[in-house]
Amino acid sequence: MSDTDKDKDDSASGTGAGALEARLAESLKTERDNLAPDVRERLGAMRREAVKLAEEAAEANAPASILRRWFGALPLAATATAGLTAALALGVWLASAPGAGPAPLPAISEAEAAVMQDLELLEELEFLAWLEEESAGAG
Amino acid sequence: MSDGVQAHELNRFLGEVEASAFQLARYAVRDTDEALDIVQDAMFTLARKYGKKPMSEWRPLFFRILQNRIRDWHRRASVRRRVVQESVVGETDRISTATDDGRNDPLLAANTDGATDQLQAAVEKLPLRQQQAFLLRSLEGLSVAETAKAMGCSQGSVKTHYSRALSALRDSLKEYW
Repeated sequence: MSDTDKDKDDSASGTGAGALEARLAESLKTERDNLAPDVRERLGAMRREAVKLAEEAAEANAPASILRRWFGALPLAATATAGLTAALALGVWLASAPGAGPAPLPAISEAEAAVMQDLELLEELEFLAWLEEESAGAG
Repeated sequence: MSDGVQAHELNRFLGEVEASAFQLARYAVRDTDEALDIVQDAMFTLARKYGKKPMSEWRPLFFRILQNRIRDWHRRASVRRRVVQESVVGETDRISTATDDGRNDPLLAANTDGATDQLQAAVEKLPLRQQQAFLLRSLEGLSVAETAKAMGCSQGSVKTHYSRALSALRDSLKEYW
């Protein structure tokens, strides 16, 4: 900002560019320019660190760096995709292979079926005999 | 910043404003180490987030960040004071509740004479907003518009803060200046 602008601002604020203001500003500037050497040193170190950070941030955001990041991640993404595809294919193959899935129940042989039929007949006969005994007992 | 030109410019810019920024923070928090931390935070934030912005925007941005950090510091200090006060209810712990007026800071004391002492005391006594408006205008030479941008308030408020600060300083220093 030019001095003219500042004076305009001051007069706009109604304070006027008085002698006190000038003396105060001068005194503050003198104080600023005579900071302790170790404070100056620490400020300088901070500044250098800040510039380094800015360079790193700029480097990270540069188009070449973004492309490098993307392409750098490509092998990883390709490996992951290939692995997933292989796992899916294996699953599909296992599901469709002959003999896959739960084992079927074994078929009942004819002999076993005949025995079961005989047992049912025997139970029926025993029941009829019991019924006869009961009715005789009741009579 | 890849060609190093912007890095060189940033270094130059920070070199120009670092001492003023330290003064602003030092008056606001009355502690050299705390002030340095605030300035460092402001520098790093500008470098990381706004280093790619046009150089013409750096100054208002930097002082805006600085003002935000100072305000945050005061908020935290206020909470800390409340907690300390609540924890010593019924006790008269004058050490933990005492506020640091910064007068015993050796780094500051080494650079002062009588008149500067009076000025420092008077500026420190100003309410924070008045103090910062006054310093941004007088020390850093920001315009009313730039100060308003840095402080996040209207230009009218800046003029009011500045005018009141000047009036208070005139009263405080009339015997010495």
